[in-house]
Amino acid sequence: MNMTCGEATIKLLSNYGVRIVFGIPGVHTLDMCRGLTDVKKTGSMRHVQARNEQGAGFMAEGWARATGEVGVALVISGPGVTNACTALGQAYADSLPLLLISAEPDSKTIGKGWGVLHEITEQKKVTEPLTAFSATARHPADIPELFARAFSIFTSQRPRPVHISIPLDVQAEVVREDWKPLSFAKPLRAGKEQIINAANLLKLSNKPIIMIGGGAVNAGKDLLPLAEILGAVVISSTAGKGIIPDSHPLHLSGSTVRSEVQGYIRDADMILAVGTELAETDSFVERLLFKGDIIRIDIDPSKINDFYPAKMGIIGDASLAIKGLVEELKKHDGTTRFNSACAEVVKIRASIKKNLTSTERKHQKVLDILQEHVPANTIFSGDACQLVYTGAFGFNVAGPRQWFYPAGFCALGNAVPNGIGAKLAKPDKPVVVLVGDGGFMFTMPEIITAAELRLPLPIIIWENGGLKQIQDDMDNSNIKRVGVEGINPDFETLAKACHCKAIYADSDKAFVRAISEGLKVDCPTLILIKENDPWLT
Amino acid sequence: MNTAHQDNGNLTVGSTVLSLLEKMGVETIFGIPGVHTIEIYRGISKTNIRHITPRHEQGAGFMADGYARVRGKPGVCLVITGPGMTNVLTAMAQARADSIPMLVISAVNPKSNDQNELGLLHELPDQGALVRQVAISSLKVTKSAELIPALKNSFAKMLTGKPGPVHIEIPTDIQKLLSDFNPEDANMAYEISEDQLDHSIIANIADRLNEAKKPLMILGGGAKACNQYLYELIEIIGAQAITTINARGLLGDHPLCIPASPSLACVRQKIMAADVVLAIGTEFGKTDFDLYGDGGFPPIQYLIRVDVSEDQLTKNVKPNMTIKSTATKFCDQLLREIKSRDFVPKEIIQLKVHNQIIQEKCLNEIESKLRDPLDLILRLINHFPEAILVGDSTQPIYAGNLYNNVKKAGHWFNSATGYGTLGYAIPSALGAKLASPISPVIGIIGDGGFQFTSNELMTASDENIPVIFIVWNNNGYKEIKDSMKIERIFPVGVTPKPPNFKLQAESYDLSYYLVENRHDLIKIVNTALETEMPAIIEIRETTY
Ligand SMILES: Cc1ncc(C[n+]2csc(CCOP(=O)(O)OP(=O)(O)O)c2C)c(N)n1
Ligand SMILES: Cc1ncc(C[n+]2csc(CCOP(=O)(O)OP(=O)(O)O)c2C)c(N)n1
Ligand SMILES: [Mg+2]
Repeated sequence: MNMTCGEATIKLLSNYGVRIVFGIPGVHTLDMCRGLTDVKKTGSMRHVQARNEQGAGFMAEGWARATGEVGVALVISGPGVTNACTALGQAYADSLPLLLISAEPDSKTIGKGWGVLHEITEQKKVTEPLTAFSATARHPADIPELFARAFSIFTSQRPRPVHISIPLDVQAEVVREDWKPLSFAKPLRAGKEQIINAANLLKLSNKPIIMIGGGAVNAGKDLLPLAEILGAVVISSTAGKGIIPDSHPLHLSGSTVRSEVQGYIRDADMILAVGTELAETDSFVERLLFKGDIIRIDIDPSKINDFYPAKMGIIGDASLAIKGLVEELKKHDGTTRFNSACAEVVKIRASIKKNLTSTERKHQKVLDILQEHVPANTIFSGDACQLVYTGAFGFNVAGPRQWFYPAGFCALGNAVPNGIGAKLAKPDKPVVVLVGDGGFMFTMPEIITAAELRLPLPIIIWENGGLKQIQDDMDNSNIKRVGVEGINPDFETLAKACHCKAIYADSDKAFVRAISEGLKVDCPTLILIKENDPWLT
Repeated sequence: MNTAHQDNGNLTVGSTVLSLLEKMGVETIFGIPGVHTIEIYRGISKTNIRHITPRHEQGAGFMADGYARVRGKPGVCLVITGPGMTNVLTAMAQARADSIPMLVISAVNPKSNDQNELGLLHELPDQGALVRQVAISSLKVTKSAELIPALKNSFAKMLTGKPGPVHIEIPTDIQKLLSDFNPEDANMAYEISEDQLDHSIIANIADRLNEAKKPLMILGGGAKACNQYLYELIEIIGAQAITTINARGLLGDHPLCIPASPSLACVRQKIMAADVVLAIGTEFGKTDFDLYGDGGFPPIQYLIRVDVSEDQLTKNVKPNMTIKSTATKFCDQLLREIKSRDFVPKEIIQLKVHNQIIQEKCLNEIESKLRDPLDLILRLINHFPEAILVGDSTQPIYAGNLYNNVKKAGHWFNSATGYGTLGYAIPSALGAKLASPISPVIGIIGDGGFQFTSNELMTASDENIPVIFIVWNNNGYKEIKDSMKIERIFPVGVTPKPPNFKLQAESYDLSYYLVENRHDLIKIVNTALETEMPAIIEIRETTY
């Protein structure tokens, strides 16, 4: 069957198993849109229309966070691409598979500076620093090749976003073949010898710690026995929350930022770091100090000797490597260590609780109510706001991919569209958005998208009169406040304007009711919490 | 995260930035603070600079753009590295395409340059490489002594030759160093070099124009600054003048001006018939000269191109003669030259009559679906000649770009040309109003474009910037839906449900009016202007 290259591209996407693309159409993507609507030719692909390409990118990001599979955004050239850049930056920093497919002006105009519509100096160079690779398809035949390269990055390497541009004339060409997906190499298995050496080092340790990050997201089943055999305390980054249930007696989830935990890390004699960069964004200190040695397991060789050079580096898939370690350590008896480790965790958790600031206590109150009243499989989509900073260590999720936070690039406004992407990916799971009043406004129009899709989506907005984190930073640095005290809209009316519901939670009871209603109705519910309300203290 | 530098007279590099900018004439900046820029914000209390906080950095960029267009000086943004930077890219690209001077100052992480990835907050490896695709220059300040030269170079770059957006990034560690200068003593004067004009070329051009039987001028955005000379020039030469979108309003209501798009057949005929065309400050860009992509732009008999930028002189259409110069200098000298000799003034009465016919032809050529949208634009122009009309990519703006007789230079601009983005009009109109508080400012936007940046209406309310936003509601991305129909594509993704505009206005504390039909328009706009509050005026295409 003859198709245009635009249609064939959509067909290839569905051959790769993609079911939804997020985007905004334009005259530059018409041939791809043709593919979106002709089910007979191209398979059924759902198009979800965002309100700004940034929202489309963030939704694709949410899809990737929820599933580990690629999230796809489809946009026009020029402004479509620059609008989606922030989402690429997020996916790059947080190692998520995201595919941006965009148009590009007619091939013969590229680089000429003729002033054609949506022209940019060189489109692929804009996204190059934000992607594993960015390429322009010069001919239809380039497309299956570029897809193969992209999908092998998504499935067998450290996932990173990819951008593929298809010029107008290329989209319109006729394609006669039926492009098929390729199969991919299995993830890399670390060498046996390295595993044995690492196991030996761990055996010798009197006080091991396991630090885990997003790279270990599929290794939970294996990590749990390892931690228990060794009697090692597990400290996850925010990206690693839930890989081991946060409530596990050995787990100090998402708490590297706490000085109580940093002290504990300092005293360990061996750290096993799995799929984590040990990044600044989890500790907010310039360098984590520790006496002990560090063994690092990572799929990305460049991570073995970066800011924290490893005593021993193991390159490979986290899950396979940990399985190997468990096998080697089967006979190890860490029972005594296990018992003291559990006691240490209890103590640290208690001291964290004791040392909370008065604002953090308010967050904790809300988080505790949530903990009690939402199902255990709920996905939380968090923005960069203080409630979520506290939630990183103050909230327990049950499993991986349930706590979203844009730790690295840290763009405001991701939480609502991430939540939309997650809900579409996992319609059976409850999704709850946690966002600050400042961050909410960044992508506010996307709540209409969620309403249009009839998604039940409680959106908890923490109102503290502006960009509080930066207010605090300014106050602490003796800087007169500027630009951080913007006023808010009347959220209840705004919700109505955007076909959503709103509930002002002015008491524990009201909050509990708001959550349960928010999870039931088929539209987003803005749940408003005001930091200065008395019920929080 | 917190580095407690006391204000003890020893100034940090970061805290001097705004004082230096103030010395360079900056009055307003647009930005969203973050940990990576707070050291720069430390300095603001020492200045009288007004800080506007948008709801998204894209808003900051578009506001700076609108501000620059109306104020005639650079718009300035201050953003964090990473997402702050990527959020402002679209606005920079729009400014680049339309040659608007804009300065974006951003932070950058200390060690994350040169592809180094450490997982720092907001890390963006090689930020400069990315920004260079949209900025005409991107400089990194790597020590205290580089700050002042970076600012001067960037201003010179923005204002010499073809203007455009520039970027300066200041690493967070450099921001915190003690400065080795005192901003009060700093000399911030910078040089703008201007080319000397070759007199013989001017004389040559004067000869050509003198001999020409049907001379014609095409004025682009680059001609904006020379309005004062143009009236005299066209009358003496006896030339009609066509204005591109970014030049619309030049020559006001002058009967020799053809304020219409060279994509229209009747305007093209005019160009084809001319024996000499003098084109000033236009790149002959496709969004003006070949809007429909039909490749039908006619050959020109004899083309003289004037532009400040060398590579612009030969772009798109081959000239017979070129002269690299600012429009003002060129017009000034040409006028002197012409006056110094016995120039035979052309008979222009006939031309004036002819001009009216052309304008009517233009109007008739406009496709029927754009008639109502055009009616809106022409009514606004005729009743509010003082108003600045800031447009998005929407049907009334496409219509107005094809033809409109706006009365003043700089009073018609929009994002339907060049980069062609959506969501421009709301923030850009706010910038325009801040730049000229006495002018009525009207933003015109579609229901689809509205949803790209409707969050910035909150800024209008927060900062009390009384702009009127006219929303042309045709239930969706009409332009794209129409294209799909033509291409026989089943419409997909083109009917984004709009908000309830009345409630949205209410939630932001804006006034709201519904125009029931075209006869109510002027009355309502008048009322809205009188209240001096920001307002949304909704027009539904079906009842207009
Ligand atoms: C796109 C973007 N711009 C600016 C910042 C800097 N920033 C980090 S946190 C923050 C404040 C967010 O305010 P809000 O969402 O209300 O949360 P709060 O700190 O008040 O809890 C800002 C401005 C950012 N992270 N991303
Ligand atoms: C950032 C961006 N995304 C997509 C497009 C493609 N596009 C051009 S016009 C248009 C429709 C805009 O709809 P609306 O604002 O309602 O105006 P209308 O065409 O209905 O008058 C779209 C989606 C664009 N120009 N810019
Ligand atoms: Mg519309």
